[in-house]
Amino acid sequence: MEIHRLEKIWIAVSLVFIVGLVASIVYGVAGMGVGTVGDTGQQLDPNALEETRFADPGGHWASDDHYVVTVVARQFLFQPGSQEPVMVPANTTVTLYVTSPDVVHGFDVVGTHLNAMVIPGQVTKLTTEFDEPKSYGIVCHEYCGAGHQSMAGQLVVVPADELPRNESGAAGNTSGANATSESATASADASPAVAPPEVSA
Amino acid sequence: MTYVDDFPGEARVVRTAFAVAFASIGLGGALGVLQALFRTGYSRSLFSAVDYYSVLTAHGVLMALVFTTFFIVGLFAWGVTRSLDTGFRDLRFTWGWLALMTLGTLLAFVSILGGIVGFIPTHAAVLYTFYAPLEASPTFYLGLALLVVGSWGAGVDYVLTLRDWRADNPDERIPLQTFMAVSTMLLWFVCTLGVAVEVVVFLLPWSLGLIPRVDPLLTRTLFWYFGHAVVYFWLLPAYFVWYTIFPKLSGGRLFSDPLARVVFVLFLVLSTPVGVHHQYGDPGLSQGLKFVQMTSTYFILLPSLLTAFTVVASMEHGARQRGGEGRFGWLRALPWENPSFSGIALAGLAFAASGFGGMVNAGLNVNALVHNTMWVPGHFHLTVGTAVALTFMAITYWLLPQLTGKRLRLRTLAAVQPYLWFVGMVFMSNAMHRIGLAGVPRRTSEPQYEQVIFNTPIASIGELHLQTVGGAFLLFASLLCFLAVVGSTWLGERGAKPLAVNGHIPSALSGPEHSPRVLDDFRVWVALTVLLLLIAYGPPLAAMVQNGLFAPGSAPIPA
Amino acid sequence: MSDRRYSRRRFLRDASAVAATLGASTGLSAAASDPYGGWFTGDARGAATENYDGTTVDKTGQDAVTVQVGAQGNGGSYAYAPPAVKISPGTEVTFEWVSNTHDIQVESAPSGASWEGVDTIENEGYTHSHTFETAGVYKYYCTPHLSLGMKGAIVVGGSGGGGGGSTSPEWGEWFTDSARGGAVGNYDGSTVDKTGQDAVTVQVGADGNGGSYAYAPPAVKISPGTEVTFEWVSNTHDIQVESKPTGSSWSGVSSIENEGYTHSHTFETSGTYTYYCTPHLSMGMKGGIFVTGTSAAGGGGGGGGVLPDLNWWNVAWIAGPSVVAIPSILAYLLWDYHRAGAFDGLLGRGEAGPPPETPEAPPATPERELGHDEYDPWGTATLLAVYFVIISVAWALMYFVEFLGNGPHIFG
Repeated sequence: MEIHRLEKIWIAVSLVFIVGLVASIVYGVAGMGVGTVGDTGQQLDPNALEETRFADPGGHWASDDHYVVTVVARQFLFQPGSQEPVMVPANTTVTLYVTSPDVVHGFDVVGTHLNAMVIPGQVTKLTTEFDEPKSYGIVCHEYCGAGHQSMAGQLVVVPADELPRNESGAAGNTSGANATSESATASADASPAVAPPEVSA
Repeated sequence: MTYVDDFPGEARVVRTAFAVAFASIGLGGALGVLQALFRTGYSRSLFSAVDYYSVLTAHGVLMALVFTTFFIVGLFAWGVTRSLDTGFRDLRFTWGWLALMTLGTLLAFVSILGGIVGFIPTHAAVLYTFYAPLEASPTFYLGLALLVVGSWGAGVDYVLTLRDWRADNPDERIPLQTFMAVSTMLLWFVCTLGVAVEVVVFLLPWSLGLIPRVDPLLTRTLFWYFGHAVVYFWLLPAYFVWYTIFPKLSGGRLFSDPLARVVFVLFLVLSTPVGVHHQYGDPGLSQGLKFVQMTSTYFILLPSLLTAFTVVASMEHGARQRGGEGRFGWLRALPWENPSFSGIALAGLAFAASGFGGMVNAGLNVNALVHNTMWVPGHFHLTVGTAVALTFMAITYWLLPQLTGKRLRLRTLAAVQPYLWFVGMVFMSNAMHRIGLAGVPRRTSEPQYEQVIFNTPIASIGELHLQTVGGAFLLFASLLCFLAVVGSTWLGERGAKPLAVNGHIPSALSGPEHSPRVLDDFRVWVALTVLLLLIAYGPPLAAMVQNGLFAPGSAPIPA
Repeated sequence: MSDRRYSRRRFLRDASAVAATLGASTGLSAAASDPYGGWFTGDARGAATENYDGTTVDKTGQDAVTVQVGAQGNGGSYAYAPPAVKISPGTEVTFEWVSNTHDIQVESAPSGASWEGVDTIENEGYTHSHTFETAGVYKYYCTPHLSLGMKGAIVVGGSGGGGGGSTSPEWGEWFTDSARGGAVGNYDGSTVDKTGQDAVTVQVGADGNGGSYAYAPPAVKISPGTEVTFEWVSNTHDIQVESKPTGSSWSGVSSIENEGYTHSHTFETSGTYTYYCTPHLSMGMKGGIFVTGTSAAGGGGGGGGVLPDLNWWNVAWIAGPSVVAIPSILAYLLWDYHRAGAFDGLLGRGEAGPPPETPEAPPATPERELGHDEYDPWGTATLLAVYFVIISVAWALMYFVEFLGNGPHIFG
């Protein structure tokens, strides 16, 4: 097949460019650990959240340097988030687990790169770290029904020592004990502070 | 002889398809202005924040599904019959599929309208992506299904006509326009399979109460199997115009026919196995899967980059044949006063700009910067809203006279229209991209929250909102110009004067005889497509279905 | 949302409300019949409360009052039922959750009141009780469903019944024992809305008031021109008209009649009609018919839907130019066709022959022909090189600086 010389050069440049793009992404993922939402492998019945870790949404210390928050996104608020802010410690590994009992929602911490979808039956896991105390807004950015435009919340980063560490009962801003319900599933996230990148070669 | 004289029956089919398309973009465009006014807060008195979602659904369906599909089947019907120099086998079949498409459109539209108007007992405020568990009336799903199935009929028509022609011309290469139409429709068959299964097997029975629950992740994944490839279903007809007609409008010849074929084959093969890049933020899909589909998504940049070279080279050829000289000076020799030319040139420019946005969207991790923010509508208003829509409007000025036998009227208005559209879109899309970077969400009627502050680096949100609305009004004005030209021409007198255009398309500089014959063997490419799909979508769909076809399942939540 | 169940009768009710508002009254009537200052409309926080029909349920004198939280309404289970209720001081109100995820945020309360609502989101089965002592108006709402109109109000009356303004603008004290006869036990404070219906039936002698001594429904609202049929379902009742608007010719049924008897009347004149049954007046057998058409509370509380929200000035600046522009454009087009001869012989055009063939323009001949071997697209190559540089720089800036350089990120 006959291709003009100049076009051949352009094809070569294009291929190099594309490979360069892929390489930048690989650098970001493998080199800096910046990924995206993955598959936790956990599924649950959206109508029976009270039997899961989401029975009592809120934050607690999973280990000395790992803080875990469970958030329920529903029509039309975040629990916690909307009525009371999600409180997380600074300079600590934070994992957010989010699910929904009703429809597809979005979970976007404005001003950060924490941006994910929340799908009934699935668990969204976001692991991150905040450098300094600050306040952020949370918006639901996926249309979820008639009250979608009012679905928002706050996430407040505070110094780590402001979030009490309890062994049982209320901790941080939770509205009840959830340490016991964590036990079955806590082992998976308690050990590694940061989950290794799940990138396939 | 004009097309309408040679193929009167087919010309009527094309005119009808175009008429539905133009009515659709007219109404959809008006709704778009109302949306812009509402979101920005300029005027919220015509409907409520809740009705906004029905308006948005109507806008999305009319613009992205109805306007596009109807124009495309009409455009390709013209292209196939003209390039093969033969009519369709049975016009009754042709009218049948067009009628089915129209019926589906009406059903879907009335279903959406029921959300705002009380005496119609339907509701469909589910947006054009209709994610479960949000549920629309069964008539909405049925309407969309009929629209898609009707469009399959168009593909059948083109394929069968080609098959007959090949029987009569066994040694010849497929004419380029037919090659492009058929490869696009093959792509359409492959990708609509996903949404057809989603709607017919899951959502429609679910909304009728026949099945109690559907798995939101599965249905969503099936949608995006379709949802990315559909943008190529829109783009490839624009490329069809850019490759086969634009060179002649520039005064030249297509630079390379073989490369055009390669580009279309690449799109056929690569368009569908990349859908997961719309689901980077979804739980339940592994990072590995997302990584693989990210790589394929970046590779689909290649055929567009190839197109850039071939099309601009063809344009330059025309300019130089018109006497243009110099490294850049040839640009001035082009017929910028011809709206068919200028519309396509500006559409191409907009597309080049949108490529950057596409690169960001495709990035596995950087996508989190922009996912579901206003950046996304900014991007697709440049791509489908300009590259595709403006191309379609521009080529209408060239085609309509040939389809009707009536000379184009209100020529000055037509000449201005593409520029008006381009400027309006630059303002609106630019503003959307910027507020999106600040985190302002899309798909919401009132993006003003007590608890959330959006920080825009340069220019305040208020200024950007003004730009959005200003751009929207310019776009609507341009749309009105287009409709005025079309309406005026359509109502003129046939045969009164000779046309100012002609359907003659010169041969390519590098013809199909310079390309391998295997390019014309669609069986090979379809097989390759299916193979790639099995690799890309097989494992995740199998994993989802393993837990149960309807598990974890959700009951319908009406919207 | 609720607009998908936006029924014709609501349309007519809202249309009459708009007509009323634009017509005779200057909005004074709206204020007089809305003791909540617009709380239930879309002008206050949140959307209009669809399940508020303009009336306040009168529960004065009752020891215990229940308000359902998350009852059906406002397009889902997003309603307080009843939304507006009047109670006596010292009444304990129990809020019962009948669906999930609601709270009670107190928007305003009289000074000195101690009620704090329910600050946490609770689910079905939860209850909250409070004894309201301080007189005045308490307004409250549900946080996640405020935007859908989930609002409520409690009016704690002054001393005694009927002390302050009447809570039933149409009926006054008619259904209480302050008027003639006993209190009407089967009147729950709400007026059944039958506007828009062609035919309405009221049962005479239905069960109620300690026997078969009730008109059912006791209070009904109809459109002018509606025929109401009164059907006797038990023995020995009549219909004595207590009051009616001037100009009305209705005279009820002055003879005692038995089961099976029917009486029909087409109510034309707008206004309030009250009536009673002679032998059972002391038991509380009273009724009322309100015929819409005058300025009244009926439309005051409504909101949502298509028409009532119209801000006419906003519509005018869109509609105005359109109304001018569209006929102008049409006129220009018509003149253009006429000039082009499109209308010539229009009426006289009979069966024409086959349509005339239209010649095309001749193919353009290029000024300079460039063949395959004579053309090298250097201009294209340069333009694309520039494009390549631009997008590479833009990518580097966006990805490495804007994205990777800022956090926090999702680690994975």
